[in-house]
Amino acid sequence: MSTEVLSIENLRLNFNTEHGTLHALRGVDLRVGTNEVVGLVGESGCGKTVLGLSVLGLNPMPPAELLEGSRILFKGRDIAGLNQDELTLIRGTGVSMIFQEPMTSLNPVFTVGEQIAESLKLRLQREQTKKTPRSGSASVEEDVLDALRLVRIADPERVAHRYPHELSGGMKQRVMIAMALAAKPSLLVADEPTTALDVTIQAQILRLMRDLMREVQTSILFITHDLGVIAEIADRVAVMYAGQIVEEANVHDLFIEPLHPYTQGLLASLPRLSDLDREIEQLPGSVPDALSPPEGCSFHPRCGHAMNQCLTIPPKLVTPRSGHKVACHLYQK
Amino acid sequence: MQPLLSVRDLVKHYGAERATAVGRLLRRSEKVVHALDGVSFDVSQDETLGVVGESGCGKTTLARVVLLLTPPTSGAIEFEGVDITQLPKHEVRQLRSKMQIIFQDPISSLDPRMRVRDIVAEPLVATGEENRDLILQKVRSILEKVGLSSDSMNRFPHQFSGGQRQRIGIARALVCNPRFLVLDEPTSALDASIQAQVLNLLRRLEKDLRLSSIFISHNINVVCYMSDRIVVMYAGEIVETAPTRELLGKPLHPYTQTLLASVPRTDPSHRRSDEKIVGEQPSPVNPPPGCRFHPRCPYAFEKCRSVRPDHVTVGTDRWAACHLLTG
Repeated sequence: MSTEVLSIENLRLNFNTEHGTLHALRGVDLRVGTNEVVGLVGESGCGKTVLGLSVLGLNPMPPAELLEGSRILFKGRDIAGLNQDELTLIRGTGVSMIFQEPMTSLNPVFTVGEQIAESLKLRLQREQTKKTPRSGSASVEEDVLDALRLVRIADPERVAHRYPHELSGGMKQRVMIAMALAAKPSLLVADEPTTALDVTIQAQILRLMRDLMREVQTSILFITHDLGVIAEIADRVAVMYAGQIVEEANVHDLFIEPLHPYTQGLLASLPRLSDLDREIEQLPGSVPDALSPPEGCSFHPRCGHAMNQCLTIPPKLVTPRSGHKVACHLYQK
Repeated sequence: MQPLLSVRDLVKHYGAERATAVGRLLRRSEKVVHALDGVSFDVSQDETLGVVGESGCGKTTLARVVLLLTPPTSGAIEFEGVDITQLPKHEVRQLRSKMQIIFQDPISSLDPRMRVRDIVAEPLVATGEENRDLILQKVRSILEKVGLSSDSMNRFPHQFSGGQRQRIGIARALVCNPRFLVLDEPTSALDASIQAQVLNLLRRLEKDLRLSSIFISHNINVVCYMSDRIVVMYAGEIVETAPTRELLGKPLHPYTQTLLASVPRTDPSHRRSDEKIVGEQPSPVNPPPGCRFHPRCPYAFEKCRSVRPDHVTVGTDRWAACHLLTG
């Protein structure tokens, strides 16, 4: 389909460690359409961050290793095998990323304005072949202020001259978003962008991201462990478990009628203000070790519905309902 | 009935000691962090009191001061009718067997070089228990209660998963049979599926062992699930307290309303659309005059900028500190 910004096909990625081969991604298929927010949700160690980093080619290789047949199509072009120079052209202009920790992602010895200016200048250099860049520092400065205004910072002149440590967590994350969006990327990979923030600030940032997506025309791959945040922002959701996508659906379908036992278990494990009388349910056990994931369905040791075939045969992603995919033997014909 | 714990006008200012003694000597104005400013509440027998608020509002300071892990600047903490801030040191040490704490981070709160049995036995040893057989027996029985097998006794913390480590922390807190427990973000470092295991375990233990507790978390869903009553903190003060259901049903303070409205719903068909929330929590070094929430409050009027609001009692068991309620 031509409307896809990102199409990941059979992505398999290992980390070769001294303890053995760590199977981080085990055949991931995922698509992000134009102006779509795709939520990628899963618990620690499920591979969601590695998947996000793969899209920008940021996993260090070695120890990371892409396996044969893995494809990452960005606007139809396979970027999985590109070298660093070619990737640099895509990073920041085609795909941008924001991280969980705004404190460690910003350089403490430069002002916020200088850091935004740097990313703007790099973008201009890259685009020089295409069109004549606007020259002179005055225009860059104006662009920096525009970038800060875009993320609703009320006094951009003052903030531009601040160092990161002088800003609050919420302000830093706004600055990160400003930097990421300054280059008007087609795709934004946001890895737990609100996890380090307080809940009222999180609400502000989520609202900002939703508004900006429309203004800048960016698609978002939103990575988080928080199903509540997913419900607030995503159009479509992919649930990851042990390096695989186990369920994928429209956000409403996923929350109203989750199909995979893991998704059902996750949703039942959350306390909810609207239903405090309900005893939360617990999934037994813990996530499997990526060095030696279980045979068959990787969720079977924790699954209440596990059958014989679950122990040996890995379930394929099937579509029992329109637009709703699930990898579980309960739904295989 | 008399409450088990009764806290009155508790104040904790960091840097205040220096400001008075050394600071004056050096004629330098030291910055004082107003971590707690006049906090009062009760915890009844068998009750779990939840504390919610955002980072820097004073939640963790409250946890530490109530257990005298750090001394208060002023105020009274009555436990079983005795003001523990006035007790001599050796009596405070004895008190520790009745009041215990569970920390957020199960990795840094367990000594990596100690075996589980020594970690769990430590509070017993610290309060003067010398009978080794009795200690081992108590350790074994509490480990069983928190769902760890007895062969875990000889292992080290790194050999356990995050959820299991938190169980070790719980066992250590409960081994000397405390009456009162402070839980400071006990599940915040855990994944959702593991968090549910630990929360259900804590709920069961609190009921079985008839524990009273203060449950602190930034996660409002979790606090409300665990607590009978809630206090809402903002910038070092309690702005509202109410039984959990009443608070959720009708939050009175504008900050409580904002906070509850900001919690993600886990329901995509009810997304928030109209946030009135602006700005961020003020600096504890220089809190605003009057009501500390006034710079962010959509209803703020003249009085809010200068006069600190009193506690206004509403109904039988709740109050809020807001000028809107006095009319």
